[in-house]
Formats: sequence, structure tokens, C-alpha cells
Amino acid sequence: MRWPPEWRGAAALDLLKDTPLDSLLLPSTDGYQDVIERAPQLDIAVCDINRPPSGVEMVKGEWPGIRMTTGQGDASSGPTGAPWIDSNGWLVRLTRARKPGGTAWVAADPPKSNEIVPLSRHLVAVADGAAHGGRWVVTLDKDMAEGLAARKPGSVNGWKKLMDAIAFFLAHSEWNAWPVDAVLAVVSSFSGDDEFFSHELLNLMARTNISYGIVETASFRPEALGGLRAAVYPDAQPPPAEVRQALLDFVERGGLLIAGPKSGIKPGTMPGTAPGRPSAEEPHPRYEMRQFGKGRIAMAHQQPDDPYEMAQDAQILLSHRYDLVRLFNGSLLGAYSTMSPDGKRRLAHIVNYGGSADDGDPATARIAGRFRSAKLWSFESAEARPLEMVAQKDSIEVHLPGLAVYGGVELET
Amino acid sequence: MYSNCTRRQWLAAAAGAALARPFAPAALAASTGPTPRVAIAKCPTYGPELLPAMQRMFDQLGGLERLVKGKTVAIKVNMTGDASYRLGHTPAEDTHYTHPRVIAATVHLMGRAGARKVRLLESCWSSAVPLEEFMLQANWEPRDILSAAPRVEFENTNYLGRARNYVRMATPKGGHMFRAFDLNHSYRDCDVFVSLAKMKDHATAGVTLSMKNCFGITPVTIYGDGAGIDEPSVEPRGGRGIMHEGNRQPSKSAPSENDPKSPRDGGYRVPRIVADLVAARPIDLAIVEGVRSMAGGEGPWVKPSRAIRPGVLVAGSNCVATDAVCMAVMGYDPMAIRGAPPFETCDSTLQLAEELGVGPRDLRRIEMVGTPVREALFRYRV
Repeated sequence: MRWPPEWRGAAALDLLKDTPLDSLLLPSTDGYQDVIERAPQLDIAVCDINRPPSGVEMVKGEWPGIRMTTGQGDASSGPTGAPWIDSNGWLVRLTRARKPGGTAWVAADPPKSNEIVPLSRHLVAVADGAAHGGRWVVTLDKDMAEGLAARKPGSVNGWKKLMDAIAFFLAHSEWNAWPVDAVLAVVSSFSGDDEFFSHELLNLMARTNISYGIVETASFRPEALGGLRAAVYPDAQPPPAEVRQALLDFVERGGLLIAGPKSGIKPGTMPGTAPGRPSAEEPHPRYEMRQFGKGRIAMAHQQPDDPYEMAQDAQILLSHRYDLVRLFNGSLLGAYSTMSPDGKRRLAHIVNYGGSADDGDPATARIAGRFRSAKLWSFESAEARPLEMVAQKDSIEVHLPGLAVYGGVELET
Repeated sequence: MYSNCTRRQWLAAAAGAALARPFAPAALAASTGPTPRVAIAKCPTYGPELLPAMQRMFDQLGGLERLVKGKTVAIKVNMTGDASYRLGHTPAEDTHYTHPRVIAATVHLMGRAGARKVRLLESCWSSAVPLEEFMLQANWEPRDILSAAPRVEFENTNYLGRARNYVRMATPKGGHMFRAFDLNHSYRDCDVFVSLAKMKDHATAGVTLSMKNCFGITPVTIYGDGAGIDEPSVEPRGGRGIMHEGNRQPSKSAPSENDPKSPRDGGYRVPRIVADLVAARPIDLAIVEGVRSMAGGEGPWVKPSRAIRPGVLVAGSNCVATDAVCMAVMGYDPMAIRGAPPFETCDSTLQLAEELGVGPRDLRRIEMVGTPVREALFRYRV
């Protein structure tokens, strides 16, 4: 938790008693001597916000939630447009992919002094970070910090709910070790000239609900592509030779590779490779499709410069047929699909970025695969509640009750 | 309420339904032309009874073969709004989308009747996504439709699509609002045009049936909120707010409104635009599916609305007549004008289309065959 400037002196530390908070981030270690001395008595570690503890990667994120809408539709003018969602999920995941075994903390700028952040937004921020395996640095707005300092009932009640949400995820910390259940990999250096594009691509692919894995070229292992249907290489710099070869091997075995001309991945121009043959499928306006081995290569006519467009194209080139989680009435929801290490359980983390269970029609989740049982984890209950499954051809549907902030749909195979 | 048409009128209209007569081309079915025939069938589910019910209707209309044999058939289905919208947990096809089994059955019967090619058309919401992908998003299996007949294709008509240019289709008599429309090529590159619609109420136009289904043939690259100012935009973005509200004109490359000073009210504009569209792109076969549907609006975004099971199918070679019969089945008066249900806040598309000579809405001038209206009646308003 970030120490709020509205809290004066170590007495405010009493608010952290019996909470799941275990670390306190101070703006500096100067001037907070009483806090620094008292905190260890409460089993709370203290550090400078600019110097996180060893093993922790601190990243700067955004306040997750709904930012804007792209349509103004109503009953008279037709269906409404999709809202824009801010999420730190991709950033947490990228951070963890680059530092396996490390802990990702995500922090956003404190709210402006006159900004009141609804409790639901604090809860969404906690859920967004934790669902993706990270931790949100709790940052109070002035109103809540002052209310808590004055022990106002409304603030204390909100604080309790916030702590319950954090405790919920700590009680399920084993989920952090569950790998993503992916159908596609984004392979990139994620750095240098390719940093902005590749980062935005991860962000925007998450919005399309593609279940993707993150593969950094610097630590590339061919096994990372195992079991996937597609790989996207968005960089404008060619990857190392072994990565290039592994991507071509992936295609030969039946995978789909989506890349730009500057990737240098062009069969026929690389030693020992045949050029492949034009695909019989319908021409794509932005990609040349070629068959190569058992798979396909979608090579952009021009190096992609719009990550939104590339994310959308990737989804269609791969096809919605391979959606792992498909949400209905889920325009405010985001899903992140994981699998237990033994492969026997799947868990779809679903975050309601609207922060309210009362918005519109209830959501339905269609999840690919066949399962024996389904249950729903939520903040509201320590125990998961069973969910009725509607069996379909190669999938199941579960009808979700109104999710205020978070629901974890756990499925047993 | 269906108050202006008495049971006696229904019986009188239905009495002439004994003899089968082949489909009449849409152009010949104007209000002064031969009496159009409309078939009604009860069909409580999308199960085994669906295909025979549809076959029987088409037979009652004179047989599909005469209409489609050796022809390219374009079928505009109704998949309004984003594919992820549902009314509660109910799948879209059980409320506001034409059901895929009705689509597959239609395609199958077209193929069996000798259609050379069947092309499924819809303008997918705010996207250039292929129609097959849009169907997958709705949880449909497009292969079930592709395999229902030989040579089946899909096209998303919300933008230029596979052609190099849009096609211009003129409205006879100059139209109420538009003298012509620029459309995706598929609406001209066909011999037979079918509107395969859902039987629903509509928040702006009162009802959405075979004619209103054609509001969606307009590409939003020209007629949508994200349309280019001078030229069509490349990618479809957003809905058709400018057609509803008239807050701007279509892309300048397309014909503008006849009178930009006409009312900007959706209840005035939408029915006129729809009437113009079905005059410009005549419907050769209108099929309206009301096996399961929704009442209160055209999609889940209209509140309040509810899922219903009318268990009925209606088809005819004249879209105005078909929609008139549908209105009767829904418990409305097809002769209703603005102010009367379901046109409390809008003009009647049926009346406006009739004025353009598209067809009659008076049940006394329509030959109804199959299940009598009184037996198919399902009141959308309770």
C-alpha cells in the first residue's frame, strides 16, 4: 500500500492491523521515522516507493476501469458501442514473463486531490492486478484516506471490503502459478524500437479476448510454442536466427505465423527453406497468405504500424473458432484463462471493469472444452458456488450471476 | 391492437387461398398488380418440423424452383447489433437474430430447388469481419449453413467487400428520402433477392419484418456514423445513427437526401428510408421467422423487452403484403398509421412502401394461404 499523505504519524498504522497488507510504500524514507519504527511491530515491511524489495518488479500502470464509449447509441438509434477498458493485466503478465519467479506490483499515479475514487474502482484495480498474477499497490484517494483517518463508518466499511478483496486473492495465491491457457503467442523483444508497438499489441489483444501467451525473444525456448495454434511476431527487427527457425518449424508443423515484412521471416529467402505456396483461401486486404508445410504464414504487405488493427487481424486470421472464452453481454468484462499445472482444472478470471452488478443484462460465458463441473469464486463468499453448465458441441456455457467486480469460473475436466 | 381488421375480413381474405399460383416477380407485385399471396405456417420449434413447414409454405406460394432454379440467390439475414448481445442469457437466435436453422433450411431448400449459388448477406455490426466469423462470435457453426446446399457463400455487406466499387440502385419515383443508394455489390449481383427476417417489434419503426430487415443493406462506410465525408470509409465503424437522426449526410460520393431540410426525427426518417430501400432493391421473396422472438424491441438494448415463442413462419413474394400479414399475426392492424399501435411515434413503413407501389398492406387485397391468421395469432403486446 502507498502511504497516503493525508495520514499523519504512525497512529494511522492501526488501520492496517489484521489486514492482508504486508508492505508499505513511502514517498521517501526521510521524515517517516515513526512509521518506519512502528510498522515492523505490525509485521509490515516498509520501503521507499522507488526502491521496491528484492524480487519485486514495480511497474507503472493505470487505474483500471471503463474510460470512454465509442458509440452513443440508444434504443432509437440502435445498439450501443463497445466501451473502452483500461487494464494492467497485460503489463503484469509481461513483467512476470520477463522475470519468472518474480513478483509484479503495479502502481498508478495517485488520484488528483479533488478526485473521489469510488470503492468499486479500488476493487476493480485489486482484481485486475491479482487476476493476472500481480498485486495492485493500494492507493487511496484523499476522501477515503481522510475518512479512514477520522474513522468515518462509510470509509471504514469500504476499507474492509477492499481488504477482503485482497485477502481473497491471497487465500488463492496458488492461482498465481497457473499458466495462461493460450492459443496464440506474441513473440517479441518487447524492447527498443519495438517496445511501444509490442506493448500496445499486448494491451489491445487482451481487449479482443484472445488467449495469448507472451514469449520474449531474449529468453526464447521452442517449447513455448508447443500446443499453440498461432504466433504473432510484430517486431520490425528480425528475431535471432534460432527464433526465426523455431517459428518456421512451428508453421511447418501446422501453426499460423503472423508477421510483417521486416521480420525477415520469409521462407525461400532463408537457407534450407522452400518458398511455400500461395494459400487458396480468400485474399486478405493486408496480408499475403502462404501455405508452408502443414501451416500458414500471414505476411503483412506492409510492416504493421497500427497495433489495434494487427490485434483485430490476428483474431480473425486465427478465427473465433478457437476462442477459449467467449463472453455474451460482456462488453464491460475481461477474461483471463489459466490452467492448473496438472492440467485438470481451468480457471477463467473474469473482471467486471464497470464495477457494478447492475449494468444491463447478465453475462454468459462460453468456454471451449468439455468439463465435469463448474463453480464460481467471488469476493462475496469464501466458498465457491456451483454453476450449472449448458453443454454444447465442443464447449459449455455458464450463466453468470451479476458480477460486481470479480468472478473466477473454475472448471474441472 | 388488431382492431381495424375483423375476423370476417380475415376469413374473406383467406377464402381465395385454395389454388396454388407461382411466384410473381417483385416488380409485378405492385399495389395495382395481381393479388400477392402470403403463406403462414405454425412451427413451434426449430426441430424436425421446421423444414417441412418451410417446404409447405414455398409450395403454397407456387414452388421455389420457378423462382431460383439456375439463379444466384442473395439472402439478407437479420443479425442486428453486436454478436455478443443477449436478452438475459437467451441466445441471440432465440430472440433477435434470424435462427441459423431457419437460414440453413432456407439455403437447403434453395439448393434443392436448383439455385446455382446462394449468397448469405449481412452487414456485420461495426466491423469488416467476415460473416462466418461474425456467426462464430454468435456461437453459431457457419459450416452447418455452408453445407446446407452446394455453392454457398457469405459476404459482410457493411463495406465494399469483395468488389472494386459500390453499386448504385435507384429508387423508383424518386423515393421519399433518397433517389438512390450506393450498396455492396452483392445486392445487384444476384438474380433473386430474399429478405429472411425476424418477426419483432422495433423501437423506432414500430415493427421490423422483411422490409425493415433491409435497413441493414446500407453500408455504414457510407451511411454510418463513421462514414467518410467525401468518399466511403474503408472500414465500417459504428451504427447508422446518421440515418436515424439525419445529423449529417452520407459520404458525398453517394446520393444525398432529396430534402436535407425534412424532419430529423427517426420515426419520420427510418420508415421512409426503408420504403425507399425496398423499392430500390426489390425483395423477390420475403420470409419472416417468428418461431422464437422478442417483443418490445428489435434487440436486447431496447428496454423493456421480453423473449417470446410465437411459433410461426410467414413467407410471400411481396414484402409489403408479407409484412402486413405478419402484423396481423402479431396482433397489430396492418392499416395502422402514425399514432396507432405499433406506430405511436413513427410513420408506417408499410404505408410508405405502398405509396411507392411496392405492394399492398390491406389484407383484403392479399391472398393468405396455410394456417389462418386467427390460428397463428400471437399478440406481441399484452
